[in-house]
Amino acid sequence: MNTAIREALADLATDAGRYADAEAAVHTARRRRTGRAVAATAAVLVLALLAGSAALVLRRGRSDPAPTAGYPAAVTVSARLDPATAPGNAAFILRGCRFRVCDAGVVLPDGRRFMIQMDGTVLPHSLTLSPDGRYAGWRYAGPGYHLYDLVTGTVRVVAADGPGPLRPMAWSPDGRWLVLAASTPESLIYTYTLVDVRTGQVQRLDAVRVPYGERVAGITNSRHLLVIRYEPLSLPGVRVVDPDSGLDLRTVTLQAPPGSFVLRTGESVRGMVVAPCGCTAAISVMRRGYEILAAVLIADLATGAVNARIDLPDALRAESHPEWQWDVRGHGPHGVVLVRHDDASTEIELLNDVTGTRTVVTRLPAETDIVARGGVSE
Amino acid sequence: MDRYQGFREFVTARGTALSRTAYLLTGDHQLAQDLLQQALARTAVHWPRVLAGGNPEGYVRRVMVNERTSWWRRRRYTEVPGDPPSPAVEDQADSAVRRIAIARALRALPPRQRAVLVLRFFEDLTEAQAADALGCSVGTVKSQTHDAIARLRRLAPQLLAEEVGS
Repeated sequence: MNTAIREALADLATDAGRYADAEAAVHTARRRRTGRAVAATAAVLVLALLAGSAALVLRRGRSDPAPTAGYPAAVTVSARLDPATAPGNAAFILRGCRFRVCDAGVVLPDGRRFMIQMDGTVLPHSLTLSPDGRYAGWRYAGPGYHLYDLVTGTVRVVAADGPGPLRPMAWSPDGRWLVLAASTPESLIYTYTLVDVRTGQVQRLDAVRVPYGERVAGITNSRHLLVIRYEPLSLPGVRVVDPDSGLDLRTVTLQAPPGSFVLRTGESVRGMVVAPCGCTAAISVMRRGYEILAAVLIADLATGAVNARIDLPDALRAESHPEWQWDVRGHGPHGVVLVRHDDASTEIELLNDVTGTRTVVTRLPAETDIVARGGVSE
Repeated sequence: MDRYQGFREFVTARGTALSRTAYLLTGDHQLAQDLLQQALARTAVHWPRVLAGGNPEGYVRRVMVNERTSWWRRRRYTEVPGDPPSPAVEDQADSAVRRIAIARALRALPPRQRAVLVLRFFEDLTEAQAADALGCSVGTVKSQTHDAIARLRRLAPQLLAEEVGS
């Protein structure tokens, strides 16, 4: 009965190359073992120091978080975000884990954290925070989307008027416009809803068509959608779309400077965050197969010119430790918001998109994650 | 003593077979290389223990299956489902076209279903061995196999035409 499958698989297997490289594997294994030995030695050292009541914190050569407007050095206190609590503009939303739905709370610039309540046993998910930190958004089991005004303590629920529950996609830099999307689990095509956060007006964007392989990555202050079109192993294109007619106003083709390559072998582009000016964007470059953020491209949205490629230093190590990763979480006035994960901590770093320098602004417990201002989570 | 003693010989002897499994699990040369190298690196880290276990090939295979599933869970916007095979495939059922069609149909399967087909019908593992490699029960292997074949039938009926009557 299964002869056809056997034959087909055997036939297909003849296409395979020879991928095994013992020396490369041994080299990687040696690096990992060395890393573990160093970590174990460090752990023993810490235990010894603690036993001697030595108040020493092993920082592995890192500097303390630098004070930066809007970011606390660490999260210190937790309280509940009760209805009518108006804690004020948040710095970011802190999630208790990375790859699944879990507890989340808004964190203020002074480090206080207010936990978003569960709905019965349902945790809040599909989180977002407006670029000014005033509105936090999330969803429970129902299809509607909750928008919490952290300044007034009022909650607005955007009713789902589409094929499925709403999830956030992008904010305009001025924090006025929020794009939400909905689809059924079976469909790969989204329908979009535009919320004017200032007036509360909700508009379903029926004319906007975004095929699979493209994604709404931003919206300008003048309500124009920025749709990124992913191209395998090459730079993406960006369509500027009128939300009312669904027509392309213009298309920006991203281009490397003449004579240079900004994507290396095996790399592809995955995501884009728009700068507060609306004029440039930070684009994530991922190493194929590993889902590892290897670099950030800085592109001019007016001309399409890619002005810089900023490599992230530990990207090579992430191949042997996939949990050690960088993520791009947003783009604020102080630079691109990066999150650096390793087995000891999670750090928020700001990347200056002109100089390429990075500054650690907040250190968080390991295996946590954030939604930055203007950012969204799955 | 070199802790990797025997590892290079193992890779030399079984590298081709493992490459084929990696290719069938991913359907892509570059991903197959990534998958196999990652599995071999993990195997090398624990080589003395893996060797003592007596089945290093099974260990590498299991790591590949788990890694592949893990990649799939972490994927974001990378994987575009392949087009369903063209109805005209059977009319020109030569080897190359058949290969493309089965590759497309396999690509449309979830990684666990794809893995169970590769382990059962390419590696010729028993249900119990496949369950061990996948880290699941024999019952799960049976149900995954059934679901995978049913889905292949829908995606590529011409490839399994001789089974329809059976």
